[in-house]
Amino acid sequence: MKTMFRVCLLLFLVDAANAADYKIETVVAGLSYPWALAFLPGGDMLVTERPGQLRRISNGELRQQPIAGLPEVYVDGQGGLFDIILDPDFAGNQRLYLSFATGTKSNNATRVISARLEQNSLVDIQVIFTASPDKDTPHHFGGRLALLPDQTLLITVGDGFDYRKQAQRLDNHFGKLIRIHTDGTVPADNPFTGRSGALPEIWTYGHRNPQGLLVSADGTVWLHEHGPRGGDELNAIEPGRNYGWPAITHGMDYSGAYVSPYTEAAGMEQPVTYWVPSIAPAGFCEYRGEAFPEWQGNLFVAALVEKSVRRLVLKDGRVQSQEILFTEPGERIREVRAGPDGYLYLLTDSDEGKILRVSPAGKLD
Amino acid sequence: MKIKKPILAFIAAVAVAYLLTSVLGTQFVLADIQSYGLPVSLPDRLAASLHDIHGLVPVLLMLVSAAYLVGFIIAVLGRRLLGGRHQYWILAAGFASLPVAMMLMKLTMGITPFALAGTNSGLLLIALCGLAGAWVFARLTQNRGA
Repeated sequence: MKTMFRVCLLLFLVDAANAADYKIETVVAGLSYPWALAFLPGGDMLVTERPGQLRRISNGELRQQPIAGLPEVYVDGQGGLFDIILDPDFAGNQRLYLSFATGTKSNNATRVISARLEQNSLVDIQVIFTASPDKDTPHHFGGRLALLPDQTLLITVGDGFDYRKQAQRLDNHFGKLIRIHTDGTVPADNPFTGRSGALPEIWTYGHRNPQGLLVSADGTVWLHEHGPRGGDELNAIEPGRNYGWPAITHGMDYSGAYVSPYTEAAGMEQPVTYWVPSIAPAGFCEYRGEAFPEWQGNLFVAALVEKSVRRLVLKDGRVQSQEILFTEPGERIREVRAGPDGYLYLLTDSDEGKILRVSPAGKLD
Repeated sequence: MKIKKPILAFIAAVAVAYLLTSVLGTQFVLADIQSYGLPVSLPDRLAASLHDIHGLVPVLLMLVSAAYLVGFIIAVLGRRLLGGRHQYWILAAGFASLPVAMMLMKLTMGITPFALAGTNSGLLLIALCGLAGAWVFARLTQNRGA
């Protein structure tokens, strides 16, 4: 009994030590299903809206006029405008990368473009990746982007829902993590380059609908993906590996049947952690700011269904503990990004979407 | 009780179609898993089949019941309007109703929630399961409609 009391006390003290006082403020409201956020060097922000608009926020005000020049976006179901990331040399070249759904109801795919931001317009647009083959479902596009330290671009592509079997094959892009150069060419050192029947841009396979991707400060590539009914996963990515979907999974089909009765198999990677029931992880970041010293190195995972953000404390590549945060707005959280000011920025997923800022409670702006 | 017989026949038809569709669906999923290089043992196969028979109740059993209800009502009305044998109308309705229900789900939701319905061969098998259930219904209600 005494031991149990001591353990409980210790857990309480550890929790108290990790807890941070914060406040949540609305930066901008009136967005339509915001999906991703990028911080421009001068303090402005760019935010993608899934229904197909790229918006700019200057001095805390949402500019009414969207960024011009965006290619036509296929908007249906989960399809639309997805991620945005800036080139590491954005200050010099104004180049950025955008992912979105392209095509029609019967022939659509995930596409990535490179473009330059000139004033309020995208110019010099180049298509650098289009997932192949097309599909006829408006779901599971993936669409997250991240740059590796060697400046190659990682792109997540979903399994298209009805095409889940294809995630285990290397002759298509369904359920894959893709690696290309930012000009669209394929790096020669990709793991399947030269293998007969395999597409050379594939970096890893066996994914379902990965909507979270980041390269941490220590170089680890993290990816999270939606499971079906349960089985959302956080994976530590190693090139060339098979992450199992749909051969192994901790999730169940929406129908109530097995996707697979197996949760592990030789030659297939295990997730670092998984969530049953689903929290619907939709985007994440690693915190390296100074505003919350107690959160240094933690991962923050936006959870649509749970209407929260999960704080993951990592140790030796494992999830040591989790904390459910930012439930106060009671909104589906689409994305969480760490700003250059050290604060966290959340995107809420609705037709009255907002950008929320999380800062220390005692901080005066 | 005049109404009791068709109700029992309907329950039997739904049960047959549901069990066949569920078990076939599981075998198709397990065949996919084998194609990824994983061995599937007989005990695993049996356990998965039983799991799915239980797990599919809220979705597939409801879907089969609704599809048959609409299909059989159309069959009865069709026979009254156009004539013909009761069994043929019921068998045609049974063959068509489950794939049509699956396709309507695809049209409205954009996806196929039941994996077996994702291919044409799967849809044909579902149609045959529907036909088997309808045959049971036709047999059990033969005196009423013949």
